[in-house]
Amino acid sequence: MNGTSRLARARAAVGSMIVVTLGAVVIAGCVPSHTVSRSVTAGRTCPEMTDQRGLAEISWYRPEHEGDARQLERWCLTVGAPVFVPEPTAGRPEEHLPTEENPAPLLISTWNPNAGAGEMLRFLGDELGHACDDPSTSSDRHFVLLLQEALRRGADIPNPPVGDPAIPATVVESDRPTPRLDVVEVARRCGLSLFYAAAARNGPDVRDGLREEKGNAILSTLPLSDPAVVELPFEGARRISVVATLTAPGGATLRVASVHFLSTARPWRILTTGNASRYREASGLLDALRTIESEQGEIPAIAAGDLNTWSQRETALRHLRTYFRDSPPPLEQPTRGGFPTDHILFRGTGSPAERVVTGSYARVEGTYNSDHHPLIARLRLR
Amino acid sequence: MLSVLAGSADVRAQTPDSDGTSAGTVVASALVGGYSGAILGAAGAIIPCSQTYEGPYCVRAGAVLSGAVGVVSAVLIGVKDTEQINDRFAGAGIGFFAGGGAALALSTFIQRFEPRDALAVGLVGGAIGASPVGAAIGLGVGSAVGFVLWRTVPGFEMPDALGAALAGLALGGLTDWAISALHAERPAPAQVFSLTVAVP
Repeated sequence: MNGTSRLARARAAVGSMIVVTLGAVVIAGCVPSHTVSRSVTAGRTCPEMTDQRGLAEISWYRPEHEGDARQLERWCLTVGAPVFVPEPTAGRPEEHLPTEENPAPLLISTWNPNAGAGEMLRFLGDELGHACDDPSTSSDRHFVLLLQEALRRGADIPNPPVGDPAIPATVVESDRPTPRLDVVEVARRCGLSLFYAAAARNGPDVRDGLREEKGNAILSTLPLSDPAVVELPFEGARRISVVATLTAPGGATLRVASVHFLSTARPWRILTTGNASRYREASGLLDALRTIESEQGEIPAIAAGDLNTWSQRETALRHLRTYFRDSPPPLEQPTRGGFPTDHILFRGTGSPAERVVTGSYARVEGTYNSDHHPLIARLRLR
Repeated sequence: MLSVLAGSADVRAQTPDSDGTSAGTVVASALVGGYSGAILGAAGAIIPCSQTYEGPYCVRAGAVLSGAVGVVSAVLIGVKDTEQINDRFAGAGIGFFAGGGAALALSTFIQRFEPRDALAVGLVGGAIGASPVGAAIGLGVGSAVGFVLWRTVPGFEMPDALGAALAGLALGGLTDWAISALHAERPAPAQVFSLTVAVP
């Protein structure tokens, strides 16, 4: 063996190692930017909010990454406008309302009703004490319900071309004994305040003469303000969070966010990002929440929803819990199949008076015809 | 990526030096070893790393470390046994087309499954195909261990069991490379029989 060829082989080995190392870096863990801000990326036309639609007060937070913007634009064009009903119409006996001196815990609940499958009215009556069809039997307790994959139906939902890849398949629902109600109808019948925004269509079909979409919603017995929609970084499907501020009768305020993350990333995305889809969505959500906090001030905040996590230790959840530092310990029971997909997270402002009531965070045993168990907790505010 | 690998597959066609090993052989060996190691490392690290705070950066570290093991092992094999490197190239090709083909066939049943998703499955198939025996043994052992831990250890969840299976696959594949590197030998020279034909 001569020295020159030995040197050439050594150089080749080192060069190969560099190429392979760089390739590995590109292949695994090359996570695109997750930055979410209020600036509008070039190419975005949707949503187009105007005063005529009464939705000008909604703030939008969108990913800055160009690839995200391109995909989100396509998906956004297939859905209708958000719905914002700031004031509840269902009354509550004044003598039972929480006051600054005597704050009653606020019920917090989150649920993915699986589009039209979940029996919303029965759930509201049984678990939250809100009898929509007979208000005289309702409890006096205030609540906020955060929904994901909430169904909305309407003729005003756009009619995009057949085969549009931005329209996912219709959610498979199990049969239910009662009529399918859309979330706007539920809010109207139950006299609740509502903030709803669509994430995607619920299939391409027209059902009973109406097109369908699914999205995130906040329903409450308390008034809502400061509505905001956060479009999360695109990871195979358009996912959003809706954010609003609740004001309790004593004046205490609470920021709430209804969150829905991707369930399963596609193989290319898993391989090229190191399975960072939900982590990227969580990072985008935290960007938006920090921006909202800097714009509107620090108040207690709840984020809850279907995070589609496989494990209580998942990276996305760990990052969220660093921001929502006062969250109750994770539940041991799964909420969908064998997985702990759903969560309620809390961030106080440092006051010991603001806390999730010990032992109140629990899974609701019934699924009310959905494929998810709801979660419930009691929150004490100042 | 595979076309690049396939283009370098016939490592014996490179210009050999005095001991029969060329720089081209070293490069080809490093590429197939690095590719297989990096992909196996990423696949094995995904679920364990997805449960750490570092997440994707942990996966990246796993891919780089495993890729380095693959490069070193493959170069050690290549300088002694080019035939084995050729076999591993062939295995990678078979694995790539088997994985990618199966993914394409199933793609009609999966929403928004794109060609690049089939490519991703093919790349994993190719990485397994380059070290099939070790990967299969590792997958079997990892699956068994994961299943037992899932059923017996509180807090060891079903995703952890899946993670154990994938980690087993990766460790098995990498061990296959490392053991082959330790035992690589030059093939014995072919016996040449002289044959004289007498024509009357």
